[in-house]
Amino acid sequence: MSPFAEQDLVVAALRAPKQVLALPPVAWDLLVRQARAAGLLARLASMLQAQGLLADVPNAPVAHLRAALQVAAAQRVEVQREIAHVRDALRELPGRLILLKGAAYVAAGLPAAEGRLFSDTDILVPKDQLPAAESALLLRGWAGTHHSAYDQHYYRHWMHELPPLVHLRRQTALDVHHAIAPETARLRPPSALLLAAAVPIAGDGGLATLAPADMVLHSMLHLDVNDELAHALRDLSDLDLLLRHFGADAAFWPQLVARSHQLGLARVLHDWLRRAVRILQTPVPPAALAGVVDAAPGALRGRLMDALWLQALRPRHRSLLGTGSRLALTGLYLRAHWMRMPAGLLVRHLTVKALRRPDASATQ
Amino acid sequence: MILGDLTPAQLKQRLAADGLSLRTGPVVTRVQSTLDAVVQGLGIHYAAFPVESDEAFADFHVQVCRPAGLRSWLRPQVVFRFDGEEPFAPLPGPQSFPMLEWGLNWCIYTYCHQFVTLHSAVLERDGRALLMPAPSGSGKSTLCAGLAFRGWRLLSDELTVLDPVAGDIVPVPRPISLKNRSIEVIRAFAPQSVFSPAVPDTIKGLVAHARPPQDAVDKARLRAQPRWIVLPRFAAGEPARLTPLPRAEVFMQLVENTFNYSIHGPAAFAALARLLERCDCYSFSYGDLDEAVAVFDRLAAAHEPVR
Amino acid sequence: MLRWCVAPAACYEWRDWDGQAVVFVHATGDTHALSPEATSLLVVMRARSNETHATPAWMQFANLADGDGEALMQGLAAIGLVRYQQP
Repeated sequence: MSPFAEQDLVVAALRAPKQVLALPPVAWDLLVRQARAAGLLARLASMLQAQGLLADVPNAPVAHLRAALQVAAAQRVEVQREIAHVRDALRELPGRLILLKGAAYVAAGLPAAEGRLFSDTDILVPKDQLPAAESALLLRGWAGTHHSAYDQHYYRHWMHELPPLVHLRRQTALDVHHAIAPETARLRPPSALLLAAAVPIAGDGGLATLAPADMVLHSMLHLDVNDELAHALRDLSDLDLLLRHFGADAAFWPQLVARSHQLGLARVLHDWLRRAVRILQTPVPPAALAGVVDAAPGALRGRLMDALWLQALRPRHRSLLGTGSRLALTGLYLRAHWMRMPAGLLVRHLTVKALRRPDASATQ
Repeated sequence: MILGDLTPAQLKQRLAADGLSLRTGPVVTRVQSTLDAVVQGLGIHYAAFPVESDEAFADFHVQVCRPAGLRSWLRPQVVFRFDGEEPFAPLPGPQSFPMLEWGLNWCIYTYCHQFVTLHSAVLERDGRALLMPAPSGSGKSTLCAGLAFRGWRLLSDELTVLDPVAGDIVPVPRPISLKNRSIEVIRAFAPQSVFSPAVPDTIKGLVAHARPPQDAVDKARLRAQPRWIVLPRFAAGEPARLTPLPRAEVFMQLVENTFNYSIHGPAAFAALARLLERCDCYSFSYGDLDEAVAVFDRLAAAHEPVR
Repeated sequence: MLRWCVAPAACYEWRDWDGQAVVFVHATGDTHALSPEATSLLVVMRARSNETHATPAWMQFANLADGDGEALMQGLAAIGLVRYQQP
């Protein structure tokens, strides 16, 4: 058994990219596989490239790093095209088109867009504009998915988005949100506040992103309630890059703390600042942590959640999955749904999902 | 060390445990399996191939095994795992060796984006490469196997791996996959060929693999310069005919047969254009393999300048 | 009448052999093979890349019968190789 088995080489590499140059071949072998499983191979490659270290990586692993960069670059171009298409389709709607998550990082040229893999495009639309947006998109070649009555109800009434749309010709996916948390969720930052604070993208009249503090809090909330835990570490890496970028301005931190209280997300900020510091050594000023320490969960619960998350934030690779991980992931999966909907609905939803055939929820 | 240096018992034991790291051209794959057909197939086809140390970097870690579950006892199936994940559905049990071969191809065209990879057979003669992009069933595989046993070095029967920077073709020589009638045709055409047992294919046919000729394995690190692109078509009873093709038409064929075209985008467009401009392009129909080989011999001998 | 000009060179990649062109259009990521007529038309438009003319004029420059000229031009616009100016 390799001496490196059960080590999370990815986190070590993200914290200190330069140290990977000293890795023996057998460790590189495991690092590439763990990073690929975590969706972070391109991110790692991009960090090494930014520090001028890619040329020093041995030939065999560097081929995989370069291949990953190639894929990430192609996906980034795709996202840019998609943004242009969506914006064109929705040009009749008042106000700017607000991009979320990956699409926002790309459009704003943020470091969090580097070495990232993209799947869907996410946008935020005021709730009263949702019908007009949906009509405009359907007219321009997007089609609905998840056609069962149950799924339609789930998305439209319980979640915070239209059922995912797919563009018929390009086969790209679009998620139209009207809030950054579900209707049924326990933590629901009011969309009106987010929309009011949205920041235009420099040099582009029609596009905007959430304000920096809101973008960071959204990233944290998404992690906190996410039931797709396969890429939790990747999402944490995005968060780390956002914090490093915006946090370079000292004025950002008090704004972030204040905004978290205003949006009811202080506990989320508390938990995720601590996890980012602990796992990726994100530089966070002590004053920021102190600003949300009152929102900390109870000591026992805090320790339990930390233990669960520590497991869930490891790369989903077989070298790192033991019984502890599986239990943690199940626990977090259940909790994610608990965060999204009341107990009665939750039981019903999980039952329906379990009885569903695997291919029935796919696009028709 | 080559795989043939291991005794059958050692081969079986190592494959069953942590697996063996096989080198095929630029790619090292750690293969793990307890299935007899896989062990035997490796023994037949890969005896001359280099085995890398377990401490070396392996590009891919693959496993070929029975899926978990009760079904395995009723009608055995085989599944291909990529580092523990199952990218595709299981196949019937007897197809375990073809499944490995198919999976090894998949690894290359799914992940090796340092290259531009095409669905195309490719052979070499005098340092010059002959590409045959074509869908399965066009007679490409039979022709490729015929040429590989008559003076052309096999680079690959399925994947043309193009270095987009250097512009040359990278060999990934492996067993040649053949179907149905082609199996007997090649056995007769090349008595020196060695085959693993034919197994039923999913679509009511047979599939078997021919061991790659020794020179293909020996020269696996020797790249070739693109020189000819030929679109083949088997036409029973017809004389062999080589017809020049307009480049623009062949270009679109190349695009359609490039696995990772959209990942490279404009760079792929440029690389394929450069490839095309270095080649003479033909369509080729043939009914008889000996006649076909003679046509390609003449092609290799002629000194026509690139247009 | 619509007046047309070729898209800026940075918008696409072009190769042509024996009177037939293939193009890669950056905005869409699509690759197309052009017919001999379309190729002739674009060769002329590329040679006069800062000029704008109505379709019949372009067809004349390219020594093509006007015939379905407008349909041809609309097709090229649809794939992003030519642009129009309002009259």
